[in-house]
Amino acid sequence: MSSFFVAHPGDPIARINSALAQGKNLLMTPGVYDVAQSIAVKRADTVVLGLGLATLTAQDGAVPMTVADVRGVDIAGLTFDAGTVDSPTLLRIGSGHDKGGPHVASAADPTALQDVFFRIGGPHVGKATTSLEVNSDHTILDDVWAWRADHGVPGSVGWTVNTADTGVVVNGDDVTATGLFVEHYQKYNVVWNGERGRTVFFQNELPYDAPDQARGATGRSTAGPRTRWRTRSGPTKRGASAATSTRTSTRASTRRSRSRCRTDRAWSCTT
Amino acid sequence: MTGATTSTGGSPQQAVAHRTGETVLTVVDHHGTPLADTEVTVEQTRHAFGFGNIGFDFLELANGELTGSAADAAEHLADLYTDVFTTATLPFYWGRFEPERGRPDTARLRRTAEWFRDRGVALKGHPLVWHTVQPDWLLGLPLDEVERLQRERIRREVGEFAGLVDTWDAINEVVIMPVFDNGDNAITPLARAKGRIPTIRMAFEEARATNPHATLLLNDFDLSSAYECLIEGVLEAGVQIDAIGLQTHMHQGYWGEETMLAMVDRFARYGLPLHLTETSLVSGDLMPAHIVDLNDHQVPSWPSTPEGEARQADEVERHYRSLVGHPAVESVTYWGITDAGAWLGAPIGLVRADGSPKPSYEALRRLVKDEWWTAPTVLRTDERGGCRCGGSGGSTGRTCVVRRRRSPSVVRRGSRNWSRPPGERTADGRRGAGLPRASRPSRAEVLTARSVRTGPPGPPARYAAATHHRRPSTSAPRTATSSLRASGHVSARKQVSVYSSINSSAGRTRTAGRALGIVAVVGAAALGVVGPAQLAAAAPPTPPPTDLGPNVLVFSPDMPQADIQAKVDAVYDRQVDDEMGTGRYALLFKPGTYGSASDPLDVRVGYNTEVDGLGQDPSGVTINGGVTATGRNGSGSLDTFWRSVSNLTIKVVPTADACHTGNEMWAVSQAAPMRRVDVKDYTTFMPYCESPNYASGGFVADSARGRALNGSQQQFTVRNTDLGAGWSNGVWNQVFSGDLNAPAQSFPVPPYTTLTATPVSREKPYLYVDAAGAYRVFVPSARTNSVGTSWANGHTEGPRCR
Repeated sequence: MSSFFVAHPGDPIARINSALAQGKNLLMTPGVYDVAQSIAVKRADTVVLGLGLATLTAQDGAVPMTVADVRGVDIAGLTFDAGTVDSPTLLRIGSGHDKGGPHVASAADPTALQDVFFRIGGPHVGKATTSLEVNSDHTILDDVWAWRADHGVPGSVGWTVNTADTGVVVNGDDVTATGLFVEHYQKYNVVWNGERGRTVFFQNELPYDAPDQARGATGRSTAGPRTRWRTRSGPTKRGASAATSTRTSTRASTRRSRSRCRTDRAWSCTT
Repeated sequence: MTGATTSTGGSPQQAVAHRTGETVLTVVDHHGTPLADTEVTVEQTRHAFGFGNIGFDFLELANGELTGSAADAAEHLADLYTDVFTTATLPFYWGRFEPERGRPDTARLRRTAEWFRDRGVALKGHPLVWHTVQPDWLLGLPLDEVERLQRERIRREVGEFAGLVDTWDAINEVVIMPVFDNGDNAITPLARAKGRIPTIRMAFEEARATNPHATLLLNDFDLSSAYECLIEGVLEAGVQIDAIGLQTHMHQGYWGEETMLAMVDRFARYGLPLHLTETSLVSGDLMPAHIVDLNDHQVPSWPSTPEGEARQADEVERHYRSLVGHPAVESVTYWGITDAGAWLGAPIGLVRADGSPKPSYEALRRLVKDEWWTAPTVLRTDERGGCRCGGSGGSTGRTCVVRRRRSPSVVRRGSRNWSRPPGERTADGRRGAGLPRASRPSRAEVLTARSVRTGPPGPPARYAAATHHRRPSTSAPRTATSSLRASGHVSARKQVSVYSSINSSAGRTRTAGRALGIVAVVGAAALGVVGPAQLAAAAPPTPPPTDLGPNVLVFSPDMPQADIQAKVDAVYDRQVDDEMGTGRYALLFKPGTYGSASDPLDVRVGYNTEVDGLGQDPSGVTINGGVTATGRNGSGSLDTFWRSVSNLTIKVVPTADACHTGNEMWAVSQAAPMRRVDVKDYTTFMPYCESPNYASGGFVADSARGRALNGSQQQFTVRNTDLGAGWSNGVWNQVFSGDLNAPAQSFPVPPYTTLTATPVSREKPYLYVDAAGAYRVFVPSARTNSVGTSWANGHTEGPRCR
């Protein structure tokens, strides 16, 4: 563990950042961390591992964690909570996917996220324009759930209360999502701009609380399919992208409404 | 550890102060009688620090294949080379060394090695195992045949050249080796099949068995923590490596002292000598920064420019100053004496293609042969025949000759024109590299030195700390070797040798014959040596306990099960309904077995609770009972979020709550992953004890189970998991990726999407306790096109352990 800084709730973020800057990895022990300045991961191959679903809560509109344009970073076992002041995003992986350089984004040493979860509202009022922003090429998203809360502590959920435009924005190329769950965002659940993306599994759900069909641009009307998943150049490009990767398998299973689906012991679903 | 910045501050003398020290020599005549009050000259003949370069350019010359002006040019280049460089790296690339099976280029390489040896240049072979420059005839052979041939090749080369080439890059670039995709070769599949560490073991053990005295290196260009971790894994596995090789090809620009030394610091912590094996700096345009694999940059012409040459000279000087200033560094090898025929056509040479030295050559020569060189010094012995040697002049670690002074004319400092007494061996039985003619006793009597002692300071405190790191036990005896050693007469010339070892800053000393390979010189400056007493003081301390805070509960098999159950239940009771609260818990089980067939342990898991085994593999922790996540009446498992289980084995034993524990129940929603869990029995992901029994999960990876039930799960994904006897049903979307025993693709009815292999994945890092009881984090490496778990055939592959 000599290469790790073992963080505890209440540790000054500056201290955590200092440890990271010195080349330490980060083990975050269980608890809730208030984060008013970004935890900045700048070194390649840094590991940030949370225990007990350690949770980072944005304060004052901060981006709780940023990862520089480096390769091989691993972020695992963390929950990111939006705070009451809107954050532009809650976790930003890389600043741009086209910056180049010997240490950036490597297929052989990819950056990966495992069991990284996002909440907008739920325990308290939360606002974040985007939850996860992936700019680094070759990033692997292995069990990510981005959730704009549809229930929670009274007063923490509502169309103008827990505001969140977009769940996941992927700008990096060659990004692979082996498990991506995104729910209830107000504009787009996923915006995927990167090339040659692959999604092995995708589940999403549209918001229940869109006040009307217009804003509900984002709602569950005919606009729905496009709001679930938008790509940079529209469906054609997306199709081309999918065609370049025969291994791609995207199955969007939309849990449209709990009330519309019933299961019984025969495990069939009637809608 | 603070950064080593000695090169940028203070005087040059300070920069290399750790390599200097004072030695008291007693000068005796050949009868052993101390020579009191006698004038002697102490003369440096060689640096103990290795200043290396590649010797690829001299094969033709050494083999007499050149004539006329070509031979003259090569001789001129050789003069430039041997004036500065003390070690030559020779090419043993398999594909070029043995392009036709059974016809290796042994004789030609041998003559080249002898040619260098005769000029006082020590040799290093590069590389014994690598995935690039492979012979075509190896392609397509079965893996076991490839391995057999690779092992034979190691034994052949190391054996044929023993005594001539005693330093080898035993294996090159292993970090990328099993995932290398820039060219078909037979070694990548072998490394993939064997795993990195077993492949390294193969290389080192074959070479070691063939030449026990060889210095064997692990060498890599990947200087990320992936390499650190690979080294840790190799050391942990008990493979003895003698030095760590670090490549620093800087075609895209000099990294600067700070970056370089920070990198060196990271690798110094293993207590092994560091060899900067491949350094290059260009004297022309820089390669664009976006090139990842340097080999991908091919330009028709890449000229050396005046501005580039000035920059290169400055950078070469800074680079060498900083590295010689770092106590862990034992040698720096530059990758090219000349631009002619340089790798990638890049102007990385120190000599232009026309044979004229660049400013960088002059800069390096100035350092090596002037600033860091001790001029011949006249000393007078005291009444007991003693004289003090070394410690002045700011030299690097060096080897000196002591001669009785008869006339000023005997003082020579040339290091060229070496000859070697044939077959002469050092006192410990190894063949020496050669004796400088200048130090031969033709004109001055070589006196003997006896009864030496050293008085240098220990290494700087920050490097002493580096010895706290684990090293293989096999190297322990060597660390206790005395740093200076006197031997008896070795030749009729009445020379007596004192072998000086250069220390490694990390508190490791080496026997001198190995470090220097030189016979019959007096080691007058064993510099910065750590003696045995200091080594003992630097013994590895017990690692401090890791404070995981109040919300981590750690269980061990020796705890009363009732206590474990009570603590687990207390956390569950607190968390079971606290969906939006601030409680966060981790329940960690040290290796062993918990619960039994008659008294099961049921670990019920509520919100924001993580349950992990702390073994290295899932088999390390077995729970007889279950780890249970359930739905709730009213909503089923639509909100069974935020919990996890990983890295253990479950043998289902029902408790009194038979509905929830009759099978392993992991009836979860999103954000409730199961990883590295080996369920020996049936698993259900459906909350069939609750009403309604909706469920909206879910994620399983790198696991195994006897059989599994999706049940009411609207969607679920299962990756790299062995499903044993199979899987039943799905609702809207059921995805399998790289699973064993998964149903075939059948979407939409049933809604199975099945990928034979997972295109790319990296398993989650995990905490475990090692054999010493210390916490460690294992970081699995990325896999491509993977099928099945990462642990089914042994430990999860991961050079990236921390």
